[in-house]
Amino acid sequence: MAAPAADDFRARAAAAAGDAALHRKLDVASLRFLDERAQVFAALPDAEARRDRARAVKAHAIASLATLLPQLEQRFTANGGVVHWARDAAEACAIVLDIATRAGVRLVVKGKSMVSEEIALNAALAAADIEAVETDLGEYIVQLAGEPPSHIITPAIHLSQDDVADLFARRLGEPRHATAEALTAAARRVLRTKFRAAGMGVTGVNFASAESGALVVVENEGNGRMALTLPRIHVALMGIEKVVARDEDLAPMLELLPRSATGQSLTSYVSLVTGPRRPDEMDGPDEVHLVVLDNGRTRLLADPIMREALYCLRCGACLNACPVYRRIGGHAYGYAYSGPIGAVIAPALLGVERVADLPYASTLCGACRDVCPVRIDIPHLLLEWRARIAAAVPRSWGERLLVRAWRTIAASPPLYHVATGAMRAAFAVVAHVPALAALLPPLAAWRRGRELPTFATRPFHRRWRERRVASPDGA
Amino acid sequence: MARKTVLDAVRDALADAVVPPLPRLARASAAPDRHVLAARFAREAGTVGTIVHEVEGLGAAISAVAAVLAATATSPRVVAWPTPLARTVATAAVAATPGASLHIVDDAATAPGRDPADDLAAVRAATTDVIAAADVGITEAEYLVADSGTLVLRAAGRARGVSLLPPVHVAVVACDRLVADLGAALAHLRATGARDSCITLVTGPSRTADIEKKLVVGVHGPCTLHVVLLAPPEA
Repeated sequence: MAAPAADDFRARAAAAAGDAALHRKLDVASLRFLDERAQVFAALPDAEARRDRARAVKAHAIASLATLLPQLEQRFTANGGVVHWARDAAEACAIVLDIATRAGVRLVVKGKSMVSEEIALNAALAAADIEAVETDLGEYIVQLAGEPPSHIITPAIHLSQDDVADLFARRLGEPRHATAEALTAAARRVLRTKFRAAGMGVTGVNFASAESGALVVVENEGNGRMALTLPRIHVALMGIEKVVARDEDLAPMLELLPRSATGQSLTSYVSLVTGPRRPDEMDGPDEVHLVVLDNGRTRLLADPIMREALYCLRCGACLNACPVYRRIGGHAYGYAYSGPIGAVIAPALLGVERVADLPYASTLCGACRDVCPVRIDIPHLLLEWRARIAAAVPRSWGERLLVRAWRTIAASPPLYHVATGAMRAAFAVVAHVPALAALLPPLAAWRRGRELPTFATRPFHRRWRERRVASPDGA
Repeated sequence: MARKTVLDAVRDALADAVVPPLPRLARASAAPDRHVLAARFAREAGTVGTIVHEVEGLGAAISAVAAVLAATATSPRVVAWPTPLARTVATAAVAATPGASLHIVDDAATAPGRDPADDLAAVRAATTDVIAAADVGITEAEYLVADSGTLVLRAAGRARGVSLLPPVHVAVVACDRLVADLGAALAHLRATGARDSCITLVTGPSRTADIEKKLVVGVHGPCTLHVVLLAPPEA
């Protein structure tokens, strides 16, 4: 993905919403993720208090970034690493390219990094004739398929085992109908040689400690460890929001990230990187670079309401929980960060006018907020974006009149009862004569993709009153 | 210039922000005794597919490792860390396994075929070649985290590749290295003033679920992880 194309959301979402095969694949993975997440949280003592604590760690860190970032830089440099600052995607790519070019690097192995997707690093390297190979199995699959990842944690969630087998048959000459084990073994074989030959490893950063300058890389496959151990140069890409104050803050974060992301107590591997190989160590990179990226994050930071979106750990739980994501998949969002959290941060990072549809890609059901390990109030933030988008558009006199009338009716119980009675009668007619709906353009537009609701024969307020009369204590 | 722009933007953005207090983090109360920790470690490690061997005395540890070597390959090639316990156990276990060969990765200078004229990069590449060709890597964990079944591995004086490149990883560790939780392990490490370039937490074999959420072990790292948990012989 050379440039994020988030502006065609409606067309992509509509196409994906009709793709039953996609829905099956998304459900297979995301519902299992949700189930395993629920189990591991149920087994965690004081889970809710731990979420509060993790949120407090991030709240403190984000509000203290002005001191934590220079402190991280100072510690990381003292540990022998090099810190680079990038205002935007182009600067970040230029920094990585410069490091690679100076060292004569021809091949780059990459651990999983959402920032790298965000800045479209692979395209920048390819333009300079440097081969970049994704080594996380899911990322490797989507790279072979020539697609961007469609999920923060499971990049190839939109592909079935048969899809992957066909792809590996075509691109790697593997036998068709291979099992998941055989496909994984093929990737291991191909990528081993790449790890050994690469001059540079690129990884993301899940957390960084300002206290010690340690960068934390969380993964399951061992490809991250390969990328930050075997090549002579390790480049870590990090958004400004990843730093926390103290080493001891890492434990509560590491407790929640894998549980939320994959339902694991801890991932197979967590690397705490504090710099290049020491003289007495027999492997590890000679150079370690940290690229600290803004790319619109300070816009979120400057926004007191949206700021909490920077608490996000990129666990992907809100994607799995979202009924909209599970029907349209990650590609429809047109951006590296999809799902509910993507719909919150994309307007800030890309400019709200480019992705004004994304905050509407939600039913506001609140499932995302319920699973968020740091309790980001995503529905509230989506509503806030909607309010801002709406406020920026001049409204027609008809719409303004409609809203004013609604306000008057909703504030007066007698008027409200009269109005709902009229609606009930009107909907009963329309339900019998659907063609009538076409006569009212707003209703016709609303009805595309929606069913007309059936009104209860006796409205709630009446039943409630009768119930109160029947049992006066309100039980 | 980018540095100043970014940091200025951060400062401006937070000009009116109130910094909330740092949360008080949960501390494990008194550390449970090592039998409780060992049982918890074995249970948690077992759930992620780590094979735990609880043994009493060095002789039993050597037998356990020798059995792993014999079961892995007919003439297993073994690489090991130079830390005292790993070296002792690896040396004896290899001696007890017919056809097994051992390379203790203790210094770049011992890499096979080294010419003094070689540059360091070439020597290190040769060392990594030996590690990558091995069937079994034997290491020693600095701590074992009971709550998550995790090994804490240091890098100082060692090769990280020994726990990463061979298909079988065996970690030997004395049971007095058991701690309750990750916070305790990190606090202990800090107290020692460790200056390693990398601390690695290992919880089970390398794994993925990237294809239809099906669990597959042995993606890039080891397919099998053994932990030999060594208790002193009961008096």
